Amino acid sequence: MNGAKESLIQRKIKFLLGQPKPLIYGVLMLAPFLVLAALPSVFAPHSPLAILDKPFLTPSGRYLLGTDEIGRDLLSRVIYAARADILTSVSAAAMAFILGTLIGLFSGYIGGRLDTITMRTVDVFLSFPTIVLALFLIVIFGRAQWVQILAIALVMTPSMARFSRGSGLVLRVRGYVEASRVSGASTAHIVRVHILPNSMPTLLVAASVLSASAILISSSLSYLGLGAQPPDPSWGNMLRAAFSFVYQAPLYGVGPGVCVTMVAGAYILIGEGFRRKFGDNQGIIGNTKNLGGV
Amino acid sequence: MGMNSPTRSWRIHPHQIAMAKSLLGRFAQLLFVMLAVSLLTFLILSATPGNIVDARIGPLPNFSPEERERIVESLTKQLGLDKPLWQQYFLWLKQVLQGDFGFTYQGLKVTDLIGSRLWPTIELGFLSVVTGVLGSLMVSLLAFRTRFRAVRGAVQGSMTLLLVMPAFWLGLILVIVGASKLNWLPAAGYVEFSEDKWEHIRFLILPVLTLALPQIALFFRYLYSGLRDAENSAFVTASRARGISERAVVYRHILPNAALPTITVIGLVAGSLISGLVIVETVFSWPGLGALIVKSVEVKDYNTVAAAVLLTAFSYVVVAFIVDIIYQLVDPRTRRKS
Repeated sequence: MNGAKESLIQRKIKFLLGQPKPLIYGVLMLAPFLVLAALPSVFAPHSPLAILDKPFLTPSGRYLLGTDEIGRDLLSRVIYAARADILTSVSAAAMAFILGTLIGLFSGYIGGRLDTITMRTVDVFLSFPTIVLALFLIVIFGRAQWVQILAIALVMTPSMARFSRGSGLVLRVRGYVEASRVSGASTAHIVRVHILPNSMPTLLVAASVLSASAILISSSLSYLGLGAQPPDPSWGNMLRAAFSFVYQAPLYGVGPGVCVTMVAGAYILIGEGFRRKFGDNQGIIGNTKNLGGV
Repeated sequence: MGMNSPTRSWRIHPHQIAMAKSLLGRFAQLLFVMLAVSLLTFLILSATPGNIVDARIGPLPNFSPEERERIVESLTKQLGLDKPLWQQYFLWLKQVLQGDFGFTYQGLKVTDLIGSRLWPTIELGFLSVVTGVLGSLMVSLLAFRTRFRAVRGAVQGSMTLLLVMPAFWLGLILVIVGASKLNWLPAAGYVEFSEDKWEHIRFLILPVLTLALPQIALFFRYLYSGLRDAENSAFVTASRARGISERAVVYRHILPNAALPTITVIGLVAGSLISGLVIVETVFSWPGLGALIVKSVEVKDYNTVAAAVLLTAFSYVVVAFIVDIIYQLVDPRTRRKS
């Protein structure tokens, strides 16, 4: 009995270790940030808002990253910032993914005039620079977090739609899809049962790239002063502050900067892992390089 | 069609007609997209909370409430705000086409303000693309031609890192190294070229690098995989078999073929550069269009934002169009296909 159980665990470990390297590294890199975002109060040594000590203290045992311009603990602020940044970017990426995938798959599968109209609309949206369009939407509809999420989702949806549309186009002429159509299946059924599952490998790659873009866009917006409002910390607004005090405290921005880069990098690694795992048998994975970013 | 004008015979080749047709088609598409972009901008603009008249005339602090009332009334009529939305759109479009974007928050003409910010942005954007192209060419060839795996790995690793680094973090690193630690360069600011050209250049270096480094990384991805693909094609094997020197094979056969797909990417980046410029100009206090957009958004100067958004979207569409034409001219295969 014991041996069988062990071998099951061993098999599970073997399965996990057998995944592509980038996928493993990516998940390992992302996981701590997700934990920090979920439970900042457990890991942060101090309050992110409390003024504890002198400003611009260098890193020490008590303040691992030092203190900021009014003497708050930088490490705690970086940890609490993870919550806002990751929540915004993950929700925006999820929305863009679902919306873009639906629009794209149906448009690509149905084709014809609908496809032309959809793709021209996508062209129009893609003509706006991402950050500028997001800025425009946020200033008009307010600075609330949900407006931010919607704005980021909206600027990323068109490229996701264009990408998944390619998948729909490729799959519509596959034998099993045609067979299903001939036997009278509805469009919704075919997209749900055949097109979506078969596009999933490429869509997962796209989702990773999308998530990376989302964290870069959301931190850019908070850098520009449109994300979390002070005194609440976000990686973007901390980096903004870091820039103003670059002569007094050159290392101020290292924490938030490394965090944004690592989260975005983790997503890219996960995407690369999926790419290797699933192979490029559809001939369309390569297009993910074109997914919008900053 | 200037490529091979009919000097040999007066007949126009079928492929030239096909190309003209496809160009015309692309041009019609361009006009359509531009029209739709303007419509979308107008719709977002008219969704602004508060009166659009206020947005157009600014706060006008010099007027008494009665006078203001009168001005608002006459402007409402003049702008056709009592008319249905679609008529308002055409009125707005007519003014925009005549170059009238109304006034800014402080009562300046929007077109004047944007005009004064255009040159620094164009300078920064253009130099960054040039640096990006040259840099990626050097880096790709280094990774492609080197005998050492470690060099190739180091290049690939650093390129991937640059790709995921947000511009404001990269900019901060460059400032920490170049300005605060080594004291070589100024951290942020701007000096007119006419005032002091060397200072002007010194202020340019860090923003240009911050914009160019991610571009180098992006172009590298395409160029390097293009080089690898081209190396495996039959004409390269054939050239090598004929005893052509390795140098000539790389520069005359592999590189031109690898560069083709990269042209499209360069065009796309050049068009969407404004997103990067928005960040980098804000980071380095560069007085360009990108910083203007951020500032106008902060003070809710809708007219300026709308004008800037339209301008950047148009330039993106036009650049994409031009890149398309260049691609068709450069690559004989796309010509034959169409």
